[in-house]
Amino acid sequence: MKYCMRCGVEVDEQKHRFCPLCNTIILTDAEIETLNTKQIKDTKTYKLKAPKPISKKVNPNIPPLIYLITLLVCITAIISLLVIDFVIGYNISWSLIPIISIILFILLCLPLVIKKKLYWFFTFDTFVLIIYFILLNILINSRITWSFFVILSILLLWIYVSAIFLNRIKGFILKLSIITIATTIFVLLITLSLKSNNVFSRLVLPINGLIFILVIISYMFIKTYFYKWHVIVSTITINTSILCIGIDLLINKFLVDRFILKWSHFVLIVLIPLTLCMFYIGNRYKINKYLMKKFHI
Amino acid sequence: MKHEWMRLDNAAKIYPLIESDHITTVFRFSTTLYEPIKKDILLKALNNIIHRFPYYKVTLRTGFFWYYLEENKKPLEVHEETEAPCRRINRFDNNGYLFRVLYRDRTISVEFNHILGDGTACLTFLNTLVHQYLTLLGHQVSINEWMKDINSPVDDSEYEDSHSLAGKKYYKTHKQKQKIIKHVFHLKDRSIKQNQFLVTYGIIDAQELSTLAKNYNTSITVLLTSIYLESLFKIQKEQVPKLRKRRPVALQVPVNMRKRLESKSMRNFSLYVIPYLYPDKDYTFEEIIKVVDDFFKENAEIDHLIAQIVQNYKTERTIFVRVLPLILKKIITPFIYKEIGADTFSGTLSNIGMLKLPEDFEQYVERYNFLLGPCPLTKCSGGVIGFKNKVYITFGRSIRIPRVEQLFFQKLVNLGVKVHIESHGGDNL
Repeated sequence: MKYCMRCGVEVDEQKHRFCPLCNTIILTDAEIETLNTKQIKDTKTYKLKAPKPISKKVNPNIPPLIYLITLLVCITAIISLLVIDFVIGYNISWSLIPIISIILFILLCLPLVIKKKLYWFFTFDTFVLIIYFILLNILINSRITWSFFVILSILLLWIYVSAIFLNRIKGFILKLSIITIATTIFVLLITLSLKSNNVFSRLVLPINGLIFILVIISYMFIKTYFYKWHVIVSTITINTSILCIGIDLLINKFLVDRFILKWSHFVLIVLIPLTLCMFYIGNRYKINKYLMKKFHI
Repeated sequence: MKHEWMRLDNAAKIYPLIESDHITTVFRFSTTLYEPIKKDILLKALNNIIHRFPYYKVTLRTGFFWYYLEENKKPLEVHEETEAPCRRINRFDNNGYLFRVLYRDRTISVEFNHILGDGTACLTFLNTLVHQYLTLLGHQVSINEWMKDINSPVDDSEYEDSHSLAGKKYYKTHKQKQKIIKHVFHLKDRSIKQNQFLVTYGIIDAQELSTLAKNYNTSITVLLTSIYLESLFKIQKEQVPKLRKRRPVALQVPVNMRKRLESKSMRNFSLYVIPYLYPDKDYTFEEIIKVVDDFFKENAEIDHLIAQIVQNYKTERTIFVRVLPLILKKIITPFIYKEIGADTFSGTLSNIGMLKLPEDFEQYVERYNFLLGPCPLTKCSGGVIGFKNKVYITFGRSIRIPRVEQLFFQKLVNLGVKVHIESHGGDNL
């Protein structure tokens, strides 16, 4: 019996040429006598991997002086704009638009001086942008008109990013639920503002719900059968087929008030053979065996 | 067979619902004799003993709400071992039986589908088979509690579903809910091909291991569990560099309930304790032993285990579970098993303990091995059995690199225990 020089465990050199644990060669007495040290080293099959160098993130330490200079330039610009506007028309009107843009610029530059997490800046910038668009809209049109859509889009983006990247929101289903609810509310508000909530209840809500359910089903299948790639592909193709049929039926019901298929069967022509192919790959041994048993000649 | 058909026991109900080529729900006991196995005598021995185990002479049938077991009148078979161990026992192969008897050179193996019974049940069956085999060869061998006398009548209590009986008995007195750790760490390595299962055997002197456990003032099970947990902890550190992404490591350790609740059942009657370590700090080995020891003292206590039985019983008896058609159960159960079953532990270590057989029996037997079947999530598991002053630790894995085994046995070597290593089929890397 020999000992593995790496693990220290006893290995029968007659049964095992290499250590079953670490794959280090186990030399017989005869080999040890014939080989010199260098040859033994060359015979080793395993190689010690050099540890990967840890890449240090370069954290640019920008001095706050740049920010102060920028701030000074911006304040000068704001005062100049106010003075020019006041001198020309004896009141403050158009200058407010560039002024709030400059303030926005200053606020967006905050990451240069404040040490906070990236997500904090993202949230801060989102709400700064929202306030900026509201102010801009009020200044131009004296009421909220187009900015409503912009604000909703920015908020939706913020919710998407928060749901996906925020560690505190745990679990795929919770993230997906947040995204779906946010999307539904977004579409609802848009359709209400366009004064046609018919589209929402008859088209958007069912499609959104269908996507939500199918994504959850796909996710659960992928998570459970992660070791069976053909099941994953089948799940995706089947769910895609159901989604296409659903969308096709809902659109036609909405447009011509009848459940008819117009285009989704073309998708099915492609996806059904693919699904069957995956089913065959997954069960090929059983199917081949069955066919051999039933149809051998 | 006394009963024309049998309900599956409480624990067995889940196995046919999750069974697949990847989760085979099969485990095996092997014994190596000093002389080559004769196939015809082994088959004769099997035929001679099967009437003593009528609850295993069954096949699985499909009902509308549950699977059930029905007497199987087809002939029994023994096969020469040519393929990977613990493969799925397909009900169309093997004449519909849910166990498989294999032989190879000097080794007899019995692979059991967990639907039939647990480790103790399977080991009793194997020992009875080997006893009969040796008797047919003309050897005089005695019997002890680890095997059945084939001339004795079958006791009704051997059929019983002790899990459900205990659940019914303690239903009102043990209601506390069990704490489960979910979403634990699992080995990240990619699985090898389907129908492959790599096995590593570690052979240790029982006395050395016992002394080591005594040095740490603990039991062998706690010691081995601690080493396994430490190995998983180290692997997680290698595979998941970011601390915030690390998860708890947990190990499933089966507990035989027969002696605790005085049962003679030859079906499933074991529970699990799942000691775990949180990833938020580094533990010394002594600290891990302390954590595991405390966990065992608290969770392997009888009241705690009964509460677990009651919880399982209540789940099974839920009206929704009972009336759900089998076809829907088959679709839903893999998801539930993944969430509240396999996702609650990072590996399994089952310790059968020291197997003590009569001396005239032992002289014909060289060794025993106990191997647990594959699981695609945990990917590696270990079975421990002691026999004739040796402890045989068998690891089965469905990944290429034996990292758990390497760290586990290296730790034992570092603790001063001499370990002899073998692998299934020679060099398999």
